[in-house]
Amino acid sequence: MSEKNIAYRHLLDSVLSLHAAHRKSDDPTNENDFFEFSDDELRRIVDALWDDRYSAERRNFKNVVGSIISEKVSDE
Amino acid sequence: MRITKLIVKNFMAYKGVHEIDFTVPKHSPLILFLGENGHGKTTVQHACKWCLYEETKEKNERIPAVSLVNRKALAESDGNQNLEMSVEMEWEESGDTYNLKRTFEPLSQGLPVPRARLRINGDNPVPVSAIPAYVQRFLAKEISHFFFFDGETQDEFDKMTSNHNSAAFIRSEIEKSLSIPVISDGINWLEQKQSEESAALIKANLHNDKMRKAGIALENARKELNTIQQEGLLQVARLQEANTRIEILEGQVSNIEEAQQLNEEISELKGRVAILRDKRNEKLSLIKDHLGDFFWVPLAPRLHDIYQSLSQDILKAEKIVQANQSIHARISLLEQLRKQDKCPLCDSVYEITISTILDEISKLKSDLESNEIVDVAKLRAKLRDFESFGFKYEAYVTVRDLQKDFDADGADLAIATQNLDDRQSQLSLYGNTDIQNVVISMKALVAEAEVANKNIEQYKSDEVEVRKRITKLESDIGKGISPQKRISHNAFAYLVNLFVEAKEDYVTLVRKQVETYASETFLKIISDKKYSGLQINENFGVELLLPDGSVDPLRSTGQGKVSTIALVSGLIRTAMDEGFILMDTPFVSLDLGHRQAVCKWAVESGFKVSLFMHSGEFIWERDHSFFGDSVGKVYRIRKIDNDESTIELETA
Repeated sequence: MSEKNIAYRHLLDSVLSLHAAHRKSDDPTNENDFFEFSDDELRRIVDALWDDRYSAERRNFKNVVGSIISEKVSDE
Repeated sequence: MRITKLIVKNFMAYKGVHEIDFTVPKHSPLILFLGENGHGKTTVQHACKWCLYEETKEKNERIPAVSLVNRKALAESDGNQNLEMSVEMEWEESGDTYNLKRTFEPLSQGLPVPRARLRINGDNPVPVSAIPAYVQRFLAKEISHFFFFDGETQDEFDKMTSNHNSAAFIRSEIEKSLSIPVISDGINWLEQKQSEESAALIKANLHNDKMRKAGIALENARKELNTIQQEGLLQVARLQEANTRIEILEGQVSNIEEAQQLNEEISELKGRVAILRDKRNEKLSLIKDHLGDFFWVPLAPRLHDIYQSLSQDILKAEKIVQANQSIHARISLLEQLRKQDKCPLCDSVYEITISTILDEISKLKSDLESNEIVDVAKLRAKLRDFESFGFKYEAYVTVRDLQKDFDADGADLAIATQNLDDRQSQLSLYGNTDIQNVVISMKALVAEAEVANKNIEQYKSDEVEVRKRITKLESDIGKGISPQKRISHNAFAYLVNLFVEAKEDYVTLVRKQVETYASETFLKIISDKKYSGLQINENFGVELLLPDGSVDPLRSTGQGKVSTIALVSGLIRTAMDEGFILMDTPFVSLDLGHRQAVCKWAVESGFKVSLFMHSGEFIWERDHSFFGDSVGKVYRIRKIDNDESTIELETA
């Protein structure tokens, strides 16, 4: 993904900064109120979403999200 | 992404094969296409669009492929089934070269349909079914009109952005260019997955009373969310409806304002007409008075001439009398001389002959005879008679000046009366618009719009609250279940929340970004320095900002055009990796100063800009200096006849 694209950077920055804020306000005693994604995983999801811009099926996004969550489930 | 080559064959005005090479040195990114209207400039854009999307439109109507075939080639083909129309486009993106060729054989057997072939880096063609996806990646059809910029139809775009109904369409187009729909679709899918996960968990744990209750609460919360969203949409529709009606009333109010303006002008003109009439009457009365006192005034110019002539005649006669007296004296002296040999005055001896004296006397007598004998006394008597009836030239001058003023007032009166008639006829066109009703309706609609706006805000806030509740319930449901199921369930729940919030941030950020870039471009181009920039409203309509932060409600066509160029520029800089723009007749309705500024912007924009211009908007000898050394190529488009044009590289 080209870093020259400002719109993409805005989306990625929004997702990562909100994620950071959520992580900061996470209640460590409640294991269900926050789900841990790494920045890299979220970047992969945003990239996939961005790649789907002009495709009707939006397959990349579904595949990447599905695959990341499946990995997490199987790692447990 | 940038176009590097275009080859057209028997396409519209271009018979045979014509190649356009779009590659230019980095420091000279501009390509100019010069040609008169109807010679084939727009055809280049049609060729690009047809090649990419298998369709191109004129006046919003799709042009059938068979109508794109060059008529001359078709006529000369003599029914040859191999006659081919084609457009081949080459572009580069992320280091790869794409070559797309679309072909149409109008005379082939059966139903002729266009065929497409795409090669990447010269490899084997990609499957035909994959071509649209590659084309979409290069330049999505939905946003292509920003890149194939048409100055002739751009004014419509400007009008659309300022109209509430069409602005919704423009908003949708712009949102596509900023990839907002893909984020919404992603969120919808995540929500659907989250819902499925929850439903599965609840179903599997029906025996768990706590989860069952949480499930019911969750279901209710989702229903509530759905209701809130539906209500929110209704309020948005209500707001749009109110805005549309306000816009209609604003038109009427503007009519009323114009009618009021006309009324004021009419009152003023009526006053002026009355004043002029009074002034004329006053002057007429003075003229009459003068004529009563000086009955001869109508004959005054003639009398004045006679008086002047008489006075001059007297002067002339007096001079003649004096001259004759002098001659008589001289003759008398000479007569004395003739009788003696000494001068009677000085006693000096007279030396001239008698004949000389006689000659002189004879000459003087002749002079005397030639002088007209005028009776000065008679002339003086005439002058006295003249003066006795009180002729005064000054009285005539006074009447003459009064008449001049009277006539001038008459001319002013005629103009004022004409203007009055014009304004009254204009006013009659406005009919009987009832300003009070309009104002009442307007107030009601503004109130309605305010209520709708408040409701929308309330629903947004309610939505946030319900979403929080859903998150909590989802979290409750996640408790006490197997870690695997919990991970999957909570992951979707978290992503939904994250992307809903991120989308809101993103929309605000990109709108501000487009606004910043568009303002930069606008201020570079616009010559009127009263503006501080542009404002992009919620519908992505462009508004012109004044330094005090208010929006200028009036804008000229030129300003509208410049603001749209600025918006396109802002969108490309915000949402594209690399930009190219093909601008067809970009300077329509722009003055020379703005043309120069657009040229300067094109040079500095960093885009690969191709400008298609006719002599009415660009004259090479006069205007090429606007571009400095930034013109990489100049193509000249010429018409051979109604069915054939050529495109030739003139300067490289």
